[in-house]
Amino acid sequence: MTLPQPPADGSRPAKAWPSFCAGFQATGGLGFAAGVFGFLFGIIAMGRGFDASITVLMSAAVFAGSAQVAILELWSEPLPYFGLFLAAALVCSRHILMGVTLHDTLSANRKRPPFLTLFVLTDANWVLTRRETRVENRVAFFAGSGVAMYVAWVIGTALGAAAPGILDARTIAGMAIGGALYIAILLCIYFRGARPAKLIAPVISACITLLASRYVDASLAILAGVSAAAAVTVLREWRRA
Amino acid sequence: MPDLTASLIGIAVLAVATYLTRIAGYFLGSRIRQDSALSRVLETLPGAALASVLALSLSGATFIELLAVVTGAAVFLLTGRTLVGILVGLAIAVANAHWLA
Repeated sequence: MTLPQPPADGSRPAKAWPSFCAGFQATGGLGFAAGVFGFLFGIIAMGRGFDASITVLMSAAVFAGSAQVAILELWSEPLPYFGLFLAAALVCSRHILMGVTLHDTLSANRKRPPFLTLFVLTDANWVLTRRETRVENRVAFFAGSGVAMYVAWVIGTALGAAAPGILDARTIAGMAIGGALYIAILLCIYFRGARPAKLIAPVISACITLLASRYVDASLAILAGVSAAAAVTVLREWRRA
Repeated sequence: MPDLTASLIGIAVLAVATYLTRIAGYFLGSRIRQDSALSRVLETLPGAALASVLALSLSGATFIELLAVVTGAAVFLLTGRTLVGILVGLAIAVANAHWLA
């Protein structure tokens, strides 16, 4: 991990290690969930004929559960490289929006962009870092939380790949709703205590996405929902001005 | 299944695609002034994107699966513990898959 640079004004930088540990610990149940999904991904990938080492390597190098699940359908001979790139980029496009909102936090007191730290950007450590304002070093908190998610995801995948037959089909089917549960809890963390006006954009986004999903595929439906949320927020800003 | 070389190239392609989405926002953010109207609009969008993903995930869910998600989230809100919320929600969904479906 890239550690923060000393501040330009000569004051002492906030200590990174306690904040890193705080981020690691704060991830708690979300890390457990990442481990469970990694486990399921390992089982499902092995069920589709993946080699165990390829499955684990993919989780370690890509570290994007939703993208990895989405491309399973495309993983056949010959591999459609451009299709893989497009599918993964579309599924993970929300990380672009998260990165925009994290710029000020992650660029504090540093000269170079945190290239390595950004590798561990996930929904979970984005939410936790946005909500956490008490730690001394939020970059280290973000990194600690991301590393916790990464470790859980890779270990979960390895366990699933090592014991593909350990869960029956019914249990796997039941656990599939865990992805929605995980995001529901993330949203609870993010919007807990928020003013009702802050909920307008996500509610509109969800409704438009559901409507659009009847006519277009999932990625485009999400794009439509987020665009509608953006339009509503722009209107609100315009009225305020 | 693709051979080893093709698989490694495929993984590299995926890794590049996902990493680009992770760093692109950071560099876009450097060009946006904090406290500008654009910044305030962009602040709302990641939460909206997560809400859209949740809506899509639940669009084909059964009543019991919906109940599992709502109960898990409610338990989290009551206890403040993510692990407890996730375990309760998963327990309901797995019990449903085994004994109720």
